Amino acid sequence: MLFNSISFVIFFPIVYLLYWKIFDKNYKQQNVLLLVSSYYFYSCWDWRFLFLLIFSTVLDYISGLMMEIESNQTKRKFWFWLSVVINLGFLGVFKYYNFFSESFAVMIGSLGFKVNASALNIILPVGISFYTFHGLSYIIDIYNKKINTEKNIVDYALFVSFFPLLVAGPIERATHLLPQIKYTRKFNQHTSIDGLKQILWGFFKKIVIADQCAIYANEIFNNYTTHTPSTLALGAIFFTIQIYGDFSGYSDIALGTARLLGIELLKNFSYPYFSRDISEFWRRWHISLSSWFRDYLYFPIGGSRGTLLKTIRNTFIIFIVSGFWHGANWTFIIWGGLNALYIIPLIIFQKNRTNLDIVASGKLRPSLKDLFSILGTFSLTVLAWIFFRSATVTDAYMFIVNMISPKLLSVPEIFPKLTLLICFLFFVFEWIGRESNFAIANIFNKWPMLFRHALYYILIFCIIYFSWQEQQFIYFQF
Amino acid sequence: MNNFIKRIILFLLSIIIVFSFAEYVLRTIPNDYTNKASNLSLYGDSIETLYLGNSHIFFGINPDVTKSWDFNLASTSQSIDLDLMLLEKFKNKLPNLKCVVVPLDYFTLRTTLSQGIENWRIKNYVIYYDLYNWIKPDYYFEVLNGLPAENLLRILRFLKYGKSDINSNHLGWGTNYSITRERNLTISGYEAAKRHTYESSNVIQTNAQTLESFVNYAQKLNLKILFISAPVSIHYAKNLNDNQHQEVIYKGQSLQKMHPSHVTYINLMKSPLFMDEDFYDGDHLNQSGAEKLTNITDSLVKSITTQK
Repeated sequence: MLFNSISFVIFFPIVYLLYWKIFDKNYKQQNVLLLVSSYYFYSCWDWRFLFLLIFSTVLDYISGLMMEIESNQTKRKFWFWLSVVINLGFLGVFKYYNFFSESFAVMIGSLGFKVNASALNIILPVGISFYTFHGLSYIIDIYNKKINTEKNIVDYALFVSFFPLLVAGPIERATHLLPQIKYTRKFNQHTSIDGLKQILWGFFKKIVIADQCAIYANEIFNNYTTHTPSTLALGAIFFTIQIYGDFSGYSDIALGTARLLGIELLKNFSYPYFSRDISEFWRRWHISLSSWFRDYLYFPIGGSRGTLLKTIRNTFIIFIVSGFWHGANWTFIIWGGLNALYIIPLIIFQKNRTNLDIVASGKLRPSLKDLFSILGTFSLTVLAWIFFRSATVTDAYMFIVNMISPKLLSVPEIFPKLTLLICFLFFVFEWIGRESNFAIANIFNKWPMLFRHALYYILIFCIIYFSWQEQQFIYFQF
Repeated sequence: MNNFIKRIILFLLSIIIVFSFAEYVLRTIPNDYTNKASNLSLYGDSIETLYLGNSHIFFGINPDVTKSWDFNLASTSQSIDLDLMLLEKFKNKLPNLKCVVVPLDYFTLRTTLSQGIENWRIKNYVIYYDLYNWIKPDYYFEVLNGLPAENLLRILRFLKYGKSDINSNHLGWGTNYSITRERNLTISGYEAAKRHTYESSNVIQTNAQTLESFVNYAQKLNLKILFISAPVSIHYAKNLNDNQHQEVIYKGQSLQKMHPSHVTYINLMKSPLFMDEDFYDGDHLNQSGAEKLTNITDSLVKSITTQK
């Protein structure tokens, strides 16, 4: 079930009314309802994969319990590794089997041996990368004795499967979500209105921004050999905006939906395209994944505690793993590696924690220095996204080669004025609202109700006007 | 909580009213589907040959040309599963039906309407033909399908000028070819062939089974079936993928071989009878092309139906 589908428009109000009107007596009732709803939500894609989700949940739940019961470190270790290996094993088979099989065949082939890659016709279970990481964070935290085991299987299952975050995150932590679902949620009108506004903004980002940019990004990337250099550059910019609108739009809808149910999820985006350097960009882009890799991979392998060389090595490791997490393709790995390359100079010159505040906080306009830094960082991310979007590394390389030419400064042959105007206005809104959780959280609050509602109607009109066919969210494939 | 829900309902009320009005008007506008459904009821008792299929037949068969009672129930992007459903649905209204003509085109085995980008058209079958028992809720609403801007224009045109969406004549032939694609035969032929070539083969099995079911059902009703690979321009034909092309021909021939008394297959895809001047674009016949094809199929149908 997609958030931008009629099925969800029917599904959610039913769950919402049941949740606050009938199952509101205690948190156990609320959790049972949410769990059943989440499983139904998930099974709408493919009910067969529900069993995989349940299996993974039960495995982590039992492993967690066993680690708490066992005082013997070897046995604790056994349960820990059992859970980690099986979870990563599922992820490996469903997501990476064909990649490894084909890469192995190519490698052996280059040595002069003939090997046929045995590709499996495997469907990727939606959300597997996300719920596997939920489970892993729980297991690792228990193993490191950072949290207590969750005894109630319904509560634990809900932590893994809560429908707003189940298929594309944010990647939650047991320390953040579990305490919230251990108490009865009380209805709060202010939070609910805020949630609705966030959902509205999420839909606007997805349907009006991302889906419109997708039309041009797809056309240009799919036929990159026939377009002029400036058109290619515009295509790359369109994709840069598309992926932000798509994924942060999804996150806003997820966060807003959870807020309507009285639950606060982790923030996933914080105006990344206003970052002044790549380090800041990565503190603002897909925050729940970046922090996951920081806590469960970067720190355990040493982080920045050792020598400069070790820090650089560790940085490369997490960016390449992060790229690989996005998909079984060399394009994602290079995208990760490229981002690591961008960050290395900042690490060497110890500038990676310079821009921790909000850009031009309290001011209407950025300083010239900030503006150039923002534009420079934006250009670097545009270049990296070319690898992310291209089907193969060769395509990405050829795209860049065709793009970098003196004709780069000519007028693009595809120049959709309306879409560009909408994108510009969107970034104006984002800029004005950059100190809030989401852009429209506070900017209209002082307006009279009539004007405020008129603006919401305009946003809804735009969403309806630009919506046509349901578009998948990009991050569903990861 | 109650106050919150009241506020939300109040806020949404105006949207719901606008949506309901738009839905009502869109459903009121006469279109090809309502036109065909009502005319089929009107002429059903006399109809002897029913033409089903996609836009190749919709624009390519003009029942007015013949002296027999034929009806064109084809529509743009209508796939074989829908052809079967339509036959099942309307059979009782066609007591004298003797023959069904079904296209077996280059893409027939590799597409279904529900899986393609044209799936928004399914709402026409749900709303106007009442074909499905239950399908995605989106397909029950006009307003949720098609471009919103296009729907808005349709409403305005209808309210201001009373303009309908009917683009077919009383016997179902598509009279107003208005697709805004390339009309240059070389370019449109290449583009259409590219668009109709599918790497994926995940519906071949299903469509092959649907074809078998179609034949079995028609046999049960003692109907003759003429499978026809509709004529296309040479510019389209030369850009076809050979495997995909051959699998369709093979399917037509094998169906004829398996059911010789009921099934006839004719391949006009590369027929020299059709020249460039017979086409609107790379793969759609124009008025004169439609006249030619109708005469060919009519004589074939006559010979098939008179066979014992």
